[in-house]
Amino acid sequence: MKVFHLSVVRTTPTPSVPLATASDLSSFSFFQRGSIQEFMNFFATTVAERTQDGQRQGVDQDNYVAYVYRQPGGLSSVAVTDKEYPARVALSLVAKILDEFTKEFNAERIASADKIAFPALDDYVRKYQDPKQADNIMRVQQELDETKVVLHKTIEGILERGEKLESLVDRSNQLSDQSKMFYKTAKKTNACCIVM
Amino acid sequence: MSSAKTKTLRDRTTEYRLLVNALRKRQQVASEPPKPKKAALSEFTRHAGAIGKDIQETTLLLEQLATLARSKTIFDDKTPEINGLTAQVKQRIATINGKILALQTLQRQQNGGEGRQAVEHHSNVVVSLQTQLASTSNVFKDVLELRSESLKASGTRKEQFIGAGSVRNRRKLDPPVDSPLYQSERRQPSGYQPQNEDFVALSLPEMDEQSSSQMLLLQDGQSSYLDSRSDAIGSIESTISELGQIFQQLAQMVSEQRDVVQRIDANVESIDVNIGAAQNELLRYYSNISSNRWLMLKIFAVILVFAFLLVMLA
Repeated sequence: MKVFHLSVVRTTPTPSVPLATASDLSSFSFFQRGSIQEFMNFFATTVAERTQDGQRQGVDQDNYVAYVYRQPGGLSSVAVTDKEYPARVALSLVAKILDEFTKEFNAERIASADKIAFPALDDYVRKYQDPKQADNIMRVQQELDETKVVLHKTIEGILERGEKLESLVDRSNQLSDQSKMFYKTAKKTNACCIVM
Repeated sequence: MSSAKTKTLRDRTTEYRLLVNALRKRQQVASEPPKPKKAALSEFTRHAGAIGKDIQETTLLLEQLATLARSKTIFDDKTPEINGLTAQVKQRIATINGKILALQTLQRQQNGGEGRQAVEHHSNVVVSLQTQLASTSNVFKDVLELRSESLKASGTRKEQFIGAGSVRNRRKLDPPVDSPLYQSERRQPSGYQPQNEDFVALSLPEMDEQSSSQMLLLQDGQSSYLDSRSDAIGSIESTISELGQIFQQLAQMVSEQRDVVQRIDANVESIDVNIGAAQNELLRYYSNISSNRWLMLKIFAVILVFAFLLVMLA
């Protein structure tokens, strides 16, 4: 499950321009990386252009999936992942990128510049390689599952404890009876007639 | 009398107020010095009467609201009226609550110069008004729940009639999303602070206006983005409730084992007692035996003396 490419694309003036990109192509061999990077950029911009305002989409291509979210202003963000990456996480990632981008850079800069340095994108690419840790919902679910496992083990421990307590009860019962017999015998030897 | 009983509560209140006014006039005619007290007394009863009347008006409005909420229309949506009525009822309940609090402070101020019975009566009146308000706000809550349930039902029925195309445009009226809302509504404290009631159920009709975020189907799952999110959150919720159940089972098992532990404890104590007593007996026996030696020596000596005598004689 990998994220290959993240980018923020401005689509409104018709030649759409990728304003910020970040990629992680470490899984490809060194010589392929150039062409694959080109392909990613092209894929991202095309998909962003073909989405409508306020729409989220996931597009399959070979063994890549591009998730795109296009804001009503024409600004969109794209994430290219492999097919196994959970769609929900990718879409929430994409929305998050867009939110941060719009918060950091104001509208004129977005409209004017051709390339904006957005270092957070690299962090995101790195962080979201493992969706289970990055996405809040999945992380919570994972922790809950771990807790459930721990609780199951605890319950097994309690059952064992129950068995041991049962055996303890039986043995203490036996001991109690035996000690009572002991007491009675001692009393009997004491109470009887004078012994030689 | 019977006709008055069959009529609604409202009539009795006006009778009561007339009586109070008549009494007040008589009191005013009779004596002057107790006048300020009586004036204050009648002010109290006036306020109480006004509050009672407000409560009954609110109950009437609530009945109207309930009939509106129960109407199972699909296309003839009376949402704005229902919302207006709900806001009105909420406002009234808030003002009634404020008036009751003012009445309470008024009652406490006048507590100095009155007889014990009057004080008790005032506090009883205040308490009865508060309980009436509490029951009214409970009815209000029930009506709101009824309203949200009927909204849900009408939503599903709309879906059925309008067809499969609406599957993509499904709005978020899912029960798992509403369940925390429902639970938080049910756990609200009743009556005394109705302003804090969670009127989240009213936001359901507002969600109908969300049209912008239309999701398309993704290739892998068969549900849209929002649905998958709500599914994930719903599964988290179910996991958490499972965890809660596991904890409860744990607590139950431990408490069952507590009995066993107590039995063991009792057994061990009885063992202790028994063995202590037995040791006691053995000690006494031992002391007996050791002291017995002297007696035995004496007996032996006596027997030896006898034997000697016998031998000597024989």
